[in-house]
Amino acid sequence: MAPTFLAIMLVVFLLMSVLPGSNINEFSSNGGGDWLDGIFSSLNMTDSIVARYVRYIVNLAKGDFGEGRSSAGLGSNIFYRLGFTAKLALFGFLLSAIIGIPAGTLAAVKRGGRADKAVSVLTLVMSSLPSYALAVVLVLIFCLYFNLLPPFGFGTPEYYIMPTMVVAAGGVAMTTRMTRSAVSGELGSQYVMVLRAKGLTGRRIVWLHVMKNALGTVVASLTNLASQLLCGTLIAENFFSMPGICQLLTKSISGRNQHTVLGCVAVLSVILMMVNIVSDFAAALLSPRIKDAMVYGGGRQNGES
Amino acid sequence: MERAKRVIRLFMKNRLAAASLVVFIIVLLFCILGPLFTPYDYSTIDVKNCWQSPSLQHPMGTDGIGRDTMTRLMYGGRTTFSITFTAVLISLLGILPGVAAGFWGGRVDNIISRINDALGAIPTFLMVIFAENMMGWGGGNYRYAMGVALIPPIVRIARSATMEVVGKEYVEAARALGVGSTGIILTHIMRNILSPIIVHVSSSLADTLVMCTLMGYLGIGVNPPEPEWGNIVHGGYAVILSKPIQMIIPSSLIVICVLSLNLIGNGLRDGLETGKERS
Repeated sequence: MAPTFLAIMLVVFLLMSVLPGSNINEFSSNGGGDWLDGIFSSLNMTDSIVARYVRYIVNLAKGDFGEGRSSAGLGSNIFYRLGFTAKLALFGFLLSAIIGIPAGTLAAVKRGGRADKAVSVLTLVMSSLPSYALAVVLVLIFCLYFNLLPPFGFGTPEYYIMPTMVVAAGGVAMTTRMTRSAVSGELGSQYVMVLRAKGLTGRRIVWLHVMKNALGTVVASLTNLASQLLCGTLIAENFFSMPGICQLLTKSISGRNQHTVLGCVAVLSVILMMVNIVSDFAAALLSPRIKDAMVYGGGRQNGES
Repeated sequence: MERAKRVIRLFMKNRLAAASLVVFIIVLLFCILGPLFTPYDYSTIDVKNCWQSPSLQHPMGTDGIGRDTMTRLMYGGRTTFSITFTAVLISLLGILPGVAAGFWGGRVDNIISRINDALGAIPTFLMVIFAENMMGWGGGNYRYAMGVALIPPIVRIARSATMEVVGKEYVEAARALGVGSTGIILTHIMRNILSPIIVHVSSSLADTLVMCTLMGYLGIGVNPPEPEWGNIVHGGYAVILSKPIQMIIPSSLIVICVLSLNLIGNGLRDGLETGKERS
C-alpha cells in the first residue's frame, strides 16, 4: 500500500513539474531577474526534484499539505471540499446497492422473462445516458415542470437529491449487471440443485444461500464501482455547482497549483486504496474459501484441504 | 470467411441491432455529408439571431452568439467521431503486449501485467488533463491520452484469450510440425482472439464517445469555437432554465448515437457467441 501510494505521488509530482508553465527556469530566463530568483530560492523551489519530492512527502506525513490559495490553509480546504464529494459518492453508493442488487437478482431469477428484459433495457439506457444528459433531464423534470427541487447550489438536503441520482446512474447499471451475472452463475451450480431436491422454496434458496455466495463477487468489484462513482461526482459537482474535490482537482491542474493537485491526489488515492482493502476484507468475510486462504495462509487456496 | 458470413447473418436477424446500425450510419452521414449542404459556417457570429428556437432557417436553433446549431453539430460530430475512432485505434496496440504475455507467460507475462496494472490505476480524466496541458489545449490532443487509457483492458482480454488458445491441441500439433512462434501467433492465435476483441471494441466505442463528449462538456476537451458535441451541450448550460431546448437537442443526438453503438455491440456479441457455438 505504502509503495503504491509513493509511486502514484511520484508520477503526479513528475507530471506536474514537466507541464509547461510550472518550470521555474522559464520564468527566470524570461527576465524575472534576481528578484524572482530570490523568491524562488526563499520558497526552496530551486532544489532538485528529488529533494522537493522527499520534503513534500515528509511534510505530508506530518499532516502539512503545503500552501494553497485560501487563507484557511490547504488541508482544511481539501477536507471541506472532500465532505461534499464524500456525501455524493456515499449516497450514490447506497442508491446503487439498494436498487442494483434487488434488480439484478430479480433479472437473474426470472432469466429470459419479462422482468429480465425490462431490467436489461433499463440498465442499457442508464449506461448509455451520459451523466450530463441525465442531469439535463432531471433539471427539466424536477425544476422546470414540477418545480420541486432547487436547481443548483448546496446546503439543505434537497440540494443533494439530483446530484445523487446523477452519480448513482452509472453505479446502478454496473451493480445490476454484476449481480445478475453473479446470481445466475450461482443458480446454475450443483448446491442449488441439492437444496431444491431437499425441498427448499425458491425464495429461501435465493436470499439465504445464493445471495451469500453471489454478494462476494459483487463486493469484490467495489473498487471499480468507487472509481465509476468518482467520475460521476466530477460531472455532478460541475453541473450542480457543488464545491467538491474533483472540481478543485481539475481547476488546480490547469492553474498549475502544484500543492493543491498533489493534496487532492493524495487524499483521493488513499480513499481508493482504503475502499480496495475494505472490499477485499468484505469479500473474504462473505466467501469462506477466501477467508480460509487469508487465515491459514496460501496453502489452502487451491482447494487442497 | 464462412464464419464471418454467419455472424453477419445472425447480426442482421437481430432486428434491434440492425436498426441501430442503420441509425448510426445515418448519424455518420449527417456529420460527413451534412456540411456540403448547409448554407452556414460553424463559426460565423450572428448576434441578431442568438438563442433562436428551432425554425425553418435554423432547424435546430442557434446558440448564444447566433451560430447555427445544426451546422455546429455536423462539424462537431466529425471532431467527436475522429477523436473516438483514433482513441479506439490506438488502444488496439494493446493486442501485441497482450498476446506476448499470454503466449510466452512467465517473466514476460509478469512484467507486462505489472506495467499494465500501473497504467490502469491512473484515472482517465487525469491522463487527459495532463496530455492536454503538455501537447496544447483545446485541439483534441487528448485523443492520444484516451487511447492510452483504453489499452489496459485490451491487453487483459488479449492475454486471457491467448492463454486459452495456447493450451489447445492444434497449437501443439503445429509446434510439433515445426511451425515457429510467429507462425503460430499469426495463424492460430490471432484468429481466435479476434472475436473477444471485436466485442470489446464495439462496446468501448460507446464508452469512448461518452468520455470524449464528457471532456468537451467539462471544458478540458475541445474548446469553442471548434465545435465538439460535448462543448455544444455545455453551450446550452447558461440558458437551461429558460431555453432547455438548447441542451436537449445536442444531448439527445449523443444519447441516440451511444444507444445505437451499445445495441450494435450487443448484437455483435450475441452473433459472435452463437456463431462460435455452432462452428
